[in-house]
Amino acid sequence: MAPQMFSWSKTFHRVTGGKIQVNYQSIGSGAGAAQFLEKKLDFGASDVPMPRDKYQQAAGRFVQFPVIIGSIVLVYNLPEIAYSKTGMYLNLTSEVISLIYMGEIKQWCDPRIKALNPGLADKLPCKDIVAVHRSDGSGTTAAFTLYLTRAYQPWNQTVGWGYTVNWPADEKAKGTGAKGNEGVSQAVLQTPYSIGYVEFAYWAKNKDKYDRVGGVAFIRNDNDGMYYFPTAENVAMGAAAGLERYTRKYGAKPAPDADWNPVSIEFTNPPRGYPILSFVYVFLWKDYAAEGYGDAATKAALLKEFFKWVLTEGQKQDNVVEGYIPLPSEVAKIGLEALNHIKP
Amino acid sequence: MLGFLLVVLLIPYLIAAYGLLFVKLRWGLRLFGAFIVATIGLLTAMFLVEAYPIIARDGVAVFFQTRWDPVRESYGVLQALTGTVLTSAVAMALAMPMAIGVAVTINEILPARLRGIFGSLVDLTATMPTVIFGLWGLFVLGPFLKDAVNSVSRYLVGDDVMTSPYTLFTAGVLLAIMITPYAAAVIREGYALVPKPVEEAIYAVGATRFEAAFIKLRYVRNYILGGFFLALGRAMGETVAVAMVVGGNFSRFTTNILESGITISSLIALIFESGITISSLIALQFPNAASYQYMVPALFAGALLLTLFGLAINAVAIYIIQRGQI
Repeated sequence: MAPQMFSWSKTFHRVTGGKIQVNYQSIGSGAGAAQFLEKKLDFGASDVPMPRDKYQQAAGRFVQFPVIIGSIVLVYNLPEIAYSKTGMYLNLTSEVISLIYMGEIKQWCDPRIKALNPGLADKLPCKDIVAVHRSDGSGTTAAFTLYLTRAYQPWNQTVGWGYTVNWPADEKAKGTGAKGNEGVSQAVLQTPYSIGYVEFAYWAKNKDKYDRVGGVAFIRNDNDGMYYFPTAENVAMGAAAGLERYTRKYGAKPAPDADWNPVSIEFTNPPRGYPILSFVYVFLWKDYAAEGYGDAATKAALLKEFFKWVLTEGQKQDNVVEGYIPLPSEVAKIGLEALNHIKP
Repeated sequence: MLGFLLVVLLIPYLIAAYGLLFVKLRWGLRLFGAFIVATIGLLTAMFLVEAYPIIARDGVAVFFQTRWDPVRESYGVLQALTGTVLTSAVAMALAMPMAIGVAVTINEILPARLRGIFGSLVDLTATMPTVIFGLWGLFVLGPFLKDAVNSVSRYLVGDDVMTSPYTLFTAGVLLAIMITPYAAAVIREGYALVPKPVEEAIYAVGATRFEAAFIKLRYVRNYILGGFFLALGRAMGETVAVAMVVGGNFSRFTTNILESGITISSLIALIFESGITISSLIALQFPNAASYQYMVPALFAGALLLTLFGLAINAVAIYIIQRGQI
C-alpha cells in the first residue's frame, strides 16, 4: 500500500498549492493499527481491518473504510511452460494452491495440476515445487491466507490466517521464505520450479521478466467456476460483488464505525470476479478533541479534506499508482459517508 | 520502562564522567567499567521482564520448541538459535582465513606506499551499510552461490542440494564477507606491532618469508583471538542483511533433525536449506508482533537467549585466554 499512499500525499501537497503536507510512513499494518490506537498517529492505514480484540477497545470511537484495492497474484517460474514459449498461463484453484502450500502437492506433474491445465499437461515437469512465502509478517500474507481459509476448508483447519502463519510446506516440502514483496518477487524469478504470491503491483512491474521464466496464474473463482486473469476490471468486479453479497447478507451497507472483519470476510472470495482481493483500510478518530489530540479542529478538518480528495479525485486513473485498482463508486461512498462522522 | 532505564543509565554515566574529569581519574575509569557491566545486566533484566509473559505461560519450553505459529500463539526459538549457530559457524570458517590473509598481505606483501590505501579500503568495507550487502546478496550472491554449489553437488552426489538461492549458507557466506574487515583490522594492528628486534631475529635464523609470517602470526595470536570474537559478535548479531538472504523457513529444523537425528550430514543438509536466525527473526517479525498476544514476549525471549549465548561464548573465550596464557 505504501507506494499509493506516498503518491497521494505528494499529489495532494501539489494540488493544495503546497499548503497541506500529509506524512505517511510505511511501518507495517500491525504497527500502524497499534500506534493509531495509542494515539501516536493521526490516522492509520492497514491491509486488514482493525483486529477484533483491538476493535473492542475503541468500538464506536473511530471509523474505518477502504481507500484503494490491491490484489494478490500467484507468479511461478517454470521454464518448460514459460509464457514466452507456450503463450499460455497456468490455471489454478484455491484447492490446488492450498495443497501446494500445505505440502500435499509436491511436484508440478501432479495429476491435480494437470487436470486444470489440459493444454499444458504433457509439458509439466516432474520437479519439486518450491513454495515461496513471506518471511516477514505482512498484510499480503494476511489477505492471501484469508482467501485460502475462506475458499478451502482444510486450510482453515490446518493453517488459518494472519500476518504470519506456520506453512506446512516448510516442513513437508520445499517451502522457503523471502522478505517483502521484492524478496518473494526476486526469489521466484531466481528459483526454477517455484511459485509465490505477491501484490499485483510487483507482478505488473516485472511482467516481462516473469513471462520469460514462467508467468502469472489464472485463478478460478470457486463461486461461479470461471477462471479470471488478474486485470483491474476483474478485480474491481470482485470488489463490487463482495459488497453486494455483504449488503444482501446483513441487509445494509457496512457502517464505518462497525467491526469490519465480517466485511473483509465477505469481500474475500467474492461471488464473481478475480477472487484474491485486499483493501487498504484507513482508520480515523470520530472526535479528535475527545481523544486528546492537540489542535484537534484543524487536524480533523485537514484529514477530512485529504481523504475526501483521496476518495474522489484520488480514485481517478492518473492518481492511482500502477498495480492498484480504484474503488468501485459504491465502495468509495462508504468512505465519504464515514468522513461525515468526524467531528470538525 | 524506557524512562526508568534512561534515569538508571544516565545518572551513573554523569557521575562517572564527573569523577573521571574532576575527582580522580582512576575512580572515574572504574565507575565507567562498572557502568558497562551494569548496562549489560540491566539489558538482560529488561529482556527477562519483557519475555516474562511467555515464560510464565510455557516455561523454558519456549527455548526448546521449534514451532512458530502465530495463528495458534505457539512460539519457539530453538530453530532460530540453530540458524544463528550455523550461519556464524560458516561465516567464521570462511572469514578467519580471509582476515589473516588480508592482514598478512597488507603488512608483508604489498609495497609500503600501497599499504595505507589498501588498509583504508578494507576498513571502508566495514562501514558500508548492511542493507547494501543485503541487496547484493539478494540479487548477485544468492543466485551465484546456488549455481556454484549445485554444479559441485551434481558432480559429487548427483543432485542439486540448494533448491533456493536464499539459505543459511548464503547468509553465512554474506556474513563472512561482511565481518572479514573487522577481524582483519584487529589482526593487522597486532601484526604491525611485532617488535623490530623479534622480526630481525626471525629473519636472522634464516626463515623464509612464509615462515616469518607464520611465526609472527603465532606471536600475535591474542590479536587473532580478539579479532575472532569481535567478528563472531558481529556475525551473531547481524540483522538486515541476513533477513534478506536467509530464506525465512521457520520449521525446516524440525524435519531434518526428526528425520535423521543430529548427525553431521543432517546438519550439513540443513545449511543448504532456507532457515532463520534469532536476529533476523526479530527483525522480520517485530513490526506486526503487537497484533498478537504473545509474539512480543516470544521475540524478547529470543533476544534473551541470544544475549545469554553471547555471554557464554565470551566467558569461554576469557577462560581459554586466562588458562592458556596465550
